[in-house]
Amino acid sequence: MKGKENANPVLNRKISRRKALSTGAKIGLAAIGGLVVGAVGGYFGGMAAAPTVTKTLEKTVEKTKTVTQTAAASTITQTVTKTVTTTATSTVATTYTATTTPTVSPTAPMEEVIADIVAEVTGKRPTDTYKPFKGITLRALLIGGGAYEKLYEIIPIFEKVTGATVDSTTRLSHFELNKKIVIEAASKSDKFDIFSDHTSFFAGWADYHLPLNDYITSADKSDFLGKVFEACEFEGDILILPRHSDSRLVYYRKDLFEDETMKAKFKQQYGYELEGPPKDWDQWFDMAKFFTNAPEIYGFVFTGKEEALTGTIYEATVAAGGNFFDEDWNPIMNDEPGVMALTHYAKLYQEKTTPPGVPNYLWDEVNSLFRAGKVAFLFDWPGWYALVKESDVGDKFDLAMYPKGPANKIAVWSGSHAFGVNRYSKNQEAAIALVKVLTSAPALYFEAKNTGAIPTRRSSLEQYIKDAEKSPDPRDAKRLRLLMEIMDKYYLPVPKTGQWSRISDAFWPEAQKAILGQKSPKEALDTIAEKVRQIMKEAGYYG
Amino acid sequence: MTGYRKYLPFLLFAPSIAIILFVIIIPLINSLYLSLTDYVLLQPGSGKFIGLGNYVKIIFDPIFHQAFKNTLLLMIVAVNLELWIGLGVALLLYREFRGRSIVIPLLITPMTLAPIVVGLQFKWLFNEIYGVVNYILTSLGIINEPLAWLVQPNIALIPILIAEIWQWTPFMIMVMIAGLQSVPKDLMEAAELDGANAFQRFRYITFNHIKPILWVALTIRSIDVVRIFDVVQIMTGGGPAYATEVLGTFIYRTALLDRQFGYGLAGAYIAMLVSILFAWYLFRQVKKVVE
Repeated sequence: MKGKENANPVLNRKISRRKALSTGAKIGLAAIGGLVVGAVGGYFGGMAAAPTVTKTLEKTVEKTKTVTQTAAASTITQTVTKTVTTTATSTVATTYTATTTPTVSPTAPMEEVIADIVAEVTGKRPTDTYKPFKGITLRALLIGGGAYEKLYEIIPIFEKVTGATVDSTTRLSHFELNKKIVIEAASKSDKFDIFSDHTSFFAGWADYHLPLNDYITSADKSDFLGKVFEACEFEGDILILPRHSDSRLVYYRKDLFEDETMKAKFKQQYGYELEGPPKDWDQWFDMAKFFTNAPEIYGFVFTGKEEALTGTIYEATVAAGGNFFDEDWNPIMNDEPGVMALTHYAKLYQEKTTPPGVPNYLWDEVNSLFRAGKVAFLFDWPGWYALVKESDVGDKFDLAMYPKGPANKIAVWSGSHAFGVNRYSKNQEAAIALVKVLTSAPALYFEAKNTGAIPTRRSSLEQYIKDAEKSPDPRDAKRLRLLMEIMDKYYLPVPKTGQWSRISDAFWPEAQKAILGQKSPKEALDTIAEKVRQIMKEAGYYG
Repeated sequence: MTGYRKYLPFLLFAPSIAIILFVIIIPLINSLYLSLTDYVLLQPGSGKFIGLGNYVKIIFDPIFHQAFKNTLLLMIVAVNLELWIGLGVALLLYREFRGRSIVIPLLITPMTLAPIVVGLQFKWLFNEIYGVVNYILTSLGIINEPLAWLVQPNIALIPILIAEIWQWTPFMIMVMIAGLQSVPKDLMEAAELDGANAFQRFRYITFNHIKPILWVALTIRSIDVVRIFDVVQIMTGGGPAYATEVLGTFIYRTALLDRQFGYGLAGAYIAMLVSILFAWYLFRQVKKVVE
């Protein structure tokens, strides 16, 4: 019986059919029974091959059976063809081919999940006595500090199950990590087997990555949230596996937006109903203007410098139907959508719907203004949520999706932390297994539960939402549902080039000139496009 | 034994020389070389030797001009104001009076703070919404509506200037008090007996006596201001649109954010050259005064 084709050659292994003999048939049935018991006892879905066991037999048997079981680690529906070939002193080899792809439960026991992943990658399942990576030392270059560290508590379990030793002592800040990766990549070093990475930067050292296409199962593909998974692709290859994500949401003052007097006043002034936060850019401007009563309160606020400004205009450009580059990496941010985006933000500032200090604001400033009740709505990161809840406006705010842009699109500038495998690693199977373990559904759920990070797998996030639904505050689950929708549909990674930080640095000071009215948006964007073309030229993009 | 004695001084100096070599000389030579290349941080394949290319490019870079102009402006205005305010306060404080031992340590407190703290503090003082400066000015009717001090290109340097003066005037006060206390008392008494008034005593005795110290203080502070970074970075980041860019923020932004290491280092060497020129000029003044 043919199983579903899988990208991983390991999963496509077959063994020859033999005629069954009566004695062997009994053993075969017993083996199938054992398989069922195994499925009940623990998760084995997606497993390509079972461990080899020694039997003294003289017969061969083939038997087919459909098994449906809910195991601790997964829900599995499998049609299993099992052939046991034996001689008096031979080893029993078994192969199972799944016709449907099992989904790993985010609450599955970590040991079981690790064993399954190792089996999937190597074709051999670790047991108490069989440690496939015994004697192997994996070296990991990891992002360190604060909430990043919690996930690494899974590494000792990986070591225990697989027998590998993982040296994970190199933990650096983001900037230092990127610097280190560049040095390692330039020297084609095999010093580190796996490394922390990020969707915003990985394209800068694409050649350092081992493409992971062959190790991504259909279950992985459907479980990682769509747009996030796309962000991990580079020129057709999956180079990284995502860990947790960051995407902005609309934070708005529900008390103001639902105030009946305000609603009536708004209708009178603008001719349409005030029904929650803005749905499009026109409403966005109208509402920003309407709620402004400076210096008591401003309608809107945004981050007006550094990458925080570049990313803001970038997402608006995409929402307006444009982009920063065409397919050949020619800068097109000065086309009409880019001009519309920058004009919109310049208008928000110049029409005084925002505090005058905006060009000097970063994340801390904008969020502190919202927390102090000085702003009616803004776009901000999910990580601020807990702090906003504890603030003066803690019980007065709600969350919503971005308004649609002029191209009827929503685009949310986002990024995800991830892991990659070194192309030059001498322990690739073990490295792949470790990366898959660290980005597995239970691992990401574990991280989310303990640190509040937003998992990039649907199953982990759904489980996290289920937990949040138990909270008396409905916003807890709403926030996560909105983020899931963004990661599925509206997630916008930065252009996949190693030049992003240079592009950003060329972008924002000129954009500030447009916002301050020193230049027209078109003039500012033309200057930016010229500078960016030079950057791309220097980086060898135009041959 | 003779051989040992002959080489002993070299042996004793060896650790210091090694440290200077590895910590100063070699990095300096390396950075000088990098400033002559197109090295871009985190970009494999960059680092080709381009001679004086970066220096030529930087001379025509309008952002560098802005940074240079702002640095020079800060240096001239801040250092001069610090000097004269410092001298004035020192003249008030150098004589013994009750509570002097409390006043002087309090006065030098700003100097002991990290520039980052000073930057944050002044950023809040000049905040357009919560800032106490706007509150006072609007309350007194000096301005009609709050000013966005840190984002209006024509006034954004003022808060930086005030922060710099607030932090470093105490340094001038300390130096001047030390200088004033070294003025011989008998000389002053003699001048007083000869009928010199207070201004004449200050002009012809005190000022002449503290001139070398004054030049040294000017030199130290001028070099400091050329290196100014933390306060500007915290308060404005060199913005808006480069309006408060100084050499320090230019180098940081170019070399570390923009990753054009070679180009940024060329900027750093020009800043160093400016410091050296100022130091050379000011030390010549000191020498003249002493002679």
